[in-house]
Amino acid sequence: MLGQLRIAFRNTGRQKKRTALLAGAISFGVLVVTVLNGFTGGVSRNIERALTDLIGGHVYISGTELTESRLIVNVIRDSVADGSAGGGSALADAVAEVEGQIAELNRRSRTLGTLIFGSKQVNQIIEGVDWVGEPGFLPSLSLTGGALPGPEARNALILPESAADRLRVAVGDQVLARVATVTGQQNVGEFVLAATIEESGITAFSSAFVRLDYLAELIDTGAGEFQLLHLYLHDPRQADRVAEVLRARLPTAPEEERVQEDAGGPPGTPGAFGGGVSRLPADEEPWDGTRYEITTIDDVMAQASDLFRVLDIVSLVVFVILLTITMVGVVNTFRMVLLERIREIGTMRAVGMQRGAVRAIFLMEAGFIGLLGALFGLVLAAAAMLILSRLTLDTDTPLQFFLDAGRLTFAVPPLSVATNLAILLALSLLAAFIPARRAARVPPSVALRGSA
Amino acid sequence: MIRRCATALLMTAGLLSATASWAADIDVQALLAEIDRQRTFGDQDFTAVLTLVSEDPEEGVERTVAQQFRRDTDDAFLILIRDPAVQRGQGYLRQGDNLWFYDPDSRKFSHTSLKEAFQDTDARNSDFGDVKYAEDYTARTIEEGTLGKYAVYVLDLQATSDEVTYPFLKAWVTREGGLVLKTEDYSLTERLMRTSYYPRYARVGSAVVPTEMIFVDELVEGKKTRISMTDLSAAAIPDSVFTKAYVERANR
Repeated sequence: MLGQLRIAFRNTGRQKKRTALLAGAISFGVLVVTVLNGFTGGVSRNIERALTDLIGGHVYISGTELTESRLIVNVIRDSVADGSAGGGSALADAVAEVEGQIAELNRRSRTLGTLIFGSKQVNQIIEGVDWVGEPGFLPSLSLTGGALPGPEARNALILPESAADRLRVAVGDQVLARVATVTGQQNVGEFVLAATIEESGITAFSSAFVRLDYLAELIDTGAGEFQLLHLYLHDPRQADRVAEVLRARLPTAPEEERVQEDAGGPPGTPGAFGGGVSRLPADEEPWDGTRYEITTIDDVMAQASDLFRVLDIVSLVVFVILLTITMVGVVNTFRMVLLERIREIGTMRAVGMQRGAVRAIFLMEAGFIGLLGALFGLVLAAAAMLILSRLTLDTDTPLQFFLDAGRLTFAVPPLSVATNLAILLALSLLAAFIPARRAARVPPSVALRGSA
Repeated sequence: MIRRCATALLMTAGLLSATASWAADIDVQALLAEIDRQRTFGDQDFTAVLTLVSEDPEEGVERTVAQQFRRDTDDAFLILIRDPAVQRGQGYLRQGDNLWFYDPDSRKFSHTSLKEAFQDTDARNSDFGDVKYAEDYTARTIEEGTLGKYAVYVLDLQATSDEVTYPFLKAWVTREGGLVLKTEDYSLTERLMRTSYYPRYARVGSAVVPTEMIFVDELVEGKKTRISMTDLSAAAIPDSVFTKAYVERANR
């Protein structure tokens, strides 16, 4: 066996140009598929990170109530005492069940309003944050102007820079906000621009931040009430398990009602993207108290993940097509090799080498060429990804959502590399199999005469 | 037969000179009910062509033409956009408490609310249905005053539920005829958001409807919308008009 390996390895180097051409063709396929796999892996990771930052957490709990006139109102009135569990409410008890998994717990309210300054107006997601009770929030923002507001600044407004530019508003200016209450009534808030910040992702999804208690007043939820509870987990992979525990503990909508039309925006953006305040249809059963909806970062990522899976499949198909074309070359090459080495085969057979061993030498040689091409392709792919990841792209575009600090990142799943190598090896062996079998079947007497 | 019964263009606050006297002997709820009765068609239907001219200092002037069908007994209306071409076929179908918006591009209906803005103008969807002042509001104060040459009651109204767009309203109502000439629409924090003028009315069938409405945005400088109604009719409308199928058919 070792001898066959040695012969096969030596044969690989006998026609260096031919081997280099074959390995080069294979390496091109490996380069393409590896870079594509790395790209989808990196983008997927960046989107997940951006969404986690944008929405704020890994598990999101929202609550809905019905008014007497059957309006569906988005509000959570249960207390989650100071962010800790055990407050005695259904929500606090449910959160207590998964307390060990929670790294951070935030209360938020969120609405789509219109910010107005003079004759200019922009539609903007406005997010209420308890930045006194959530001391890590303000320092996490990347300021581009102004200063972080103090705890006493009740009507302070922190605005994404692009929104401030469109409004042509400066720090210290008074900005009006036209918002709807949770039942859809019109209301107006007066804010003072305290600071501008960098976009947190796609411009359209970037939030302006205000104090939770002031926003609660504007959207007409009570003091201490909020709309969303965001959980950051120690291990984001546990998001689905945590959601299952919460769903089991909290009153939720029946399964069939949970499948609703996608609002198109981050979870818990009531009426933000065309939904408006809705009313429970007359033929649907009303409910008492708060009904909760629990979603996770995986739910939000589901559509994107599907897209990346399709991209991976497409890249795999391209890889197989490229390899198949290359393998036609491999078949022809090995047919020529058979003719070139016919006397050699005859000699080996004459000195007692079995047919299987001859076949094995041919197959091993094909395997070596395949592995050489794979190795070369992986090195090229690593170099290409390294160069591409050094490029800094314009961060003032929606592309930013797919980037990490303006740069492309690549993450190649080891399973994809293993799968690609297995396919490559299988096709190489398959391509060499017929010439190898033919070589093995040549009688020694015929081979020694120099004809196959 | 359409008969114009009142005209007034009241665009400046200088025309207003309220005489600020309490009118405690007025039955406010009866007055509100009378306004509702006049503005409601009862068992008659209503058809009109709406022309909306929206002025925005940033966006410029936009003109929208729509056909309106209304049936107050069923709390139903349908507004189909005719012009501009890019919005042609869009529809607002009200069926009782539900209001649907139809997008001909996606061929889908989506739920919307009477409280939302109509086509990004200063009008609200609720401005196109019947009025229910007596049901939706209660008066905090009532004063006698004048608005231009008209003797009016000035009503300070507060919503009785969260079903209306504006929680607070100030209305100038003619003492004779009970026509609403002007309203100021206030937010929940009692900030003036919109001033509405109704300078022109017409009798259509058994109802009296404003044929010109001007909505001035009090938050965005220089933004306003003027709505004119023409081709008014109280003729019966087929039941099939107030259905989703009709809206879809109208787009074929």
